[in-house]
Amino acid sequence: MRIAFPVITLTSSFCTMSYSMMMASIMTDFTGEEVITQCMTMGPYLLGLGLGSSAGDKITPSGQLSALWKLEWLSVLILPLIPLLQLLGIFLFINLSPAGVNLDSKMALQFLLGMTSLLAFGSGLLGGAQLPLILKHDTRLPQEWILAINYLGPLAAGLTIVGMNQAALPLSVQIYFVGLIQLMGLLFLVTHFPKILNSLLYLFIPLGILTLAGHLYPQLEALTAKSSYMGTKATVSEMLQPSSLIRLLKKYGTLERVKTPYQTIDLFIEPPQLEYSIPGNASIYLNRKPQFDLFSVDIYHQTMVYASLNLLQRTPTNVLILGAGDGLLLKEFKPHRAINKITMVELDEKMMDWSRTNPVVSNLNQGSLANIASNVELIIGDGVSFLRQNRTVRYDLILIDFPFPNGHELAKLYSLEFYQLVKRSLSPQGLVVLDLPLYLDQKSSLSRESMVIIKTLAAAGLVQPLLFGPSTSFLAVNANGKKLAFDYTTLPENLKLATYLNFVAPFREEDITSEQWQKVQVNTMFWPRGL
Amino acid sequence: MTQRNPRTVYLFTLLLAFCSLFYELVYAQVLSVCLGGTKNQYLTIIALFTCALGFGSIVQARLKQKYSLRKTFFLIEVLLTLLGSLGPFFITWILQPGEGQQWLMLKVLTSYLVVFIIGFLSGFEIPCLFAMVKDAQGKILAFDYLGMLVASISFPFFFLPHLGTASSTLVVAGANAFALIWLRSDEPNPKSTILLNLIVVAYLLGIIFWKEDLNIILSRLYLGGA
Repeated sequence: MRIAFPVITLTSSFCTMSYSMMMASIMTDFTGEEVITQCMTMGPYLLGLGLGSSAGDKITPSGQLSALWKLEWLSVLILPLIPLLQLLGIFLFINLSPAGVNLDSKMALQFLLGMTSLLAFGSGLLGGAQLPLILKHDTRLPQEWILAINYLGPLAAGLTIVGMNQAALPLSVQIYFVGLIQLMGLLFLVTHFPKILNSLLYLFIPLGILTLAGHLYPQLEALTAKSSYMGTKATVSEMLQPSSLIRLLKKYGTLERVKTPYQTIDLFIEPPQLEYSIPGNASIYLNRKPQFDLFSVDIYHQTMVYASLNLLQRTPTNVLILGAGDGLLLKEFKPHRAINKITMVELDEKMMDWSRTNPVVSNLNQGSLANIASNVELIIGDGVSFLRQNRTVRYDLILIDFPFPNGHELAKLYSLEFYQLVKRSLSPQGLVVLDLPLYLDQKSSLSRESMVIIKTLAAAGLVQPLLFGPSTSFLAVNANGKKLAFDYTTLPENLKLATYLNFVAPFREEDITSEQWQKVQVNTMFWPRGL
Repeated sequence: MTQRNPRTVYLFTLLLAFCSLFYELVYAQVLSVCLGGTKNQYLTIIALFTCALGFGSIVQARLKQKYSLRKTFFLIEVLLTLLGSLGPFFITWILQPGEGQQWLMLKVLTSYLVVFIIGFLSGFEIPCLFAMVKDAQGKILAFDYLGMLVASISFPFFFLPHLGTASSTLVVAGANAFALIWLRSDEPNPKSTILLNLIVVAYLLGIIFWKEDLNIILSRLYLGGA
């Protein structure tokens, strides 16, 4: 009979920790700030756990079982709603805030982190209050056993949530899974104590709430994503009657979402608006950050490939592409059969599969991933690990096509250690071209972020920076110190006009004053700064 | 165990809890650099830490009859200071690329074991602190959780951007060393206590002065001498 106590102890600690981890995951996905988000969720959660535990300790012995039942019931009822509330907060922020739709802004980060910290604190409070109530009971087990079981819960939660993230399970499935485990724990408690057996019917309420939360979550997630991509805005009174906004978001455009273990890929297709003469468009977003659309796709990929070949002034023997799982760079290399070998290293296998089969993307990459050219080798793996392991092969051209450093994980790909590894794999006369966020500050000069990247490259020995492309920007560097410049006479004739116009270098190293140079620091993996 | 001034005990409770969680955050940071997947590394470390913390306190309750609480506490703080300061360098070193990649899983498990040990040893602290002040368990626990909150806020917003991973962990290990001095402070030799305090202060200043170099050591270990 007393088995109910260990069961409820385990399910309760497992579920509260799981929900706080889910909250951290949601916030990480939206902000890209992994370290800050994890810390600001787990800290308040642990504080809540501690304060909840001392609050639970004060409940009088006579009301323990009913208090435990009520608290557990309340947890099962409230906790599945927390991720939904978090998402609703983000949706409201996007539509109501003066900061616009930009979730990268400081104000957005403060608001979202504040909200998440509060919710995490609340879930910790609920979880913490339950343990003293269980411990005061005659559990017929030594207290240490109950405590040990209680501490196994977070470990099980960590492993489960990490496993579900690795399997790229949608959050709605995670909510269902954790909620059902919590509900089963409560069912165990009710059925083992005749005193509270008459409360059995009340279990249908949290079951209904859980079903509703799991059902509403993907819908709200899609509405939030669309809202941010479309830049919808609403007043408070419109938000109180949001039916017209929701109707617009549901009706306008289609959103295809693919969740992989590493990222969320969104393909947002907008229909043409004939009445305003606006053509249709398709845009790709990785972790909600725009990558390219139908208007920029050729400019971006043609510029990267043809600018590299032009700056190199010869056909490279050995090319390394890091990233570019959409296959669009490979498409541009297709006509260049004289290149001996092209090695492409992409972390996300699911992204490559999707780019191979999705009608829009496979059309854009002209089947470069379905029919791989004979001189191309595809490696599924982490680019950093690939470079760390590589001590023998040298490449004439290294193209780095990574997302912009929005967050800690991506900032590692713009670090001193990473660039040192790149330099180690570069042949003496080789060239490195990377997709560089050309941030401009208010005085239209290079922003701190861009300068941090240039300074970090220089610290790694990758010099002579040539920043080009006002439309989509890139940075070329080499290790031999030879000045880089375009030879406009040898540019191929079959490029798009917009691509030619992108072969302009608006900034040179000499444009950066020594004062500006000294103000910025080198970004390293162990000391992330400036990005 | 000798009864201590409650306010000092609360302060040290806050400090020790801060150090424990801080070490774990540093480990999460190092492991996310060496193995990738920041989000999952942080989740795993926090889960492992919470679990180990609990098991530590359970084991401590069993051992307290056999061993002197004071000696145990002192030993725990020595081990925590050492693991907190040297552990990140050790993990970065064992996870270097190159030879022995077939042992990668073992190396990863060793790294997580170090994380578990820190949590486990930290679990010993609270019962020792309980023994220092009568009837103040609630307050001690409150300061313990507050310390963890301070660690979780200060690590991403202050320490990581201003000192980097290596210097941060060494600074915090230095602060942890103050706990060692404090534990010895009721012994009848104030001169040695003053000397120890001066050594720790000099150590902390040294770390702040050489913060760039210390982080470079970690980078070199990561690159395996590249």
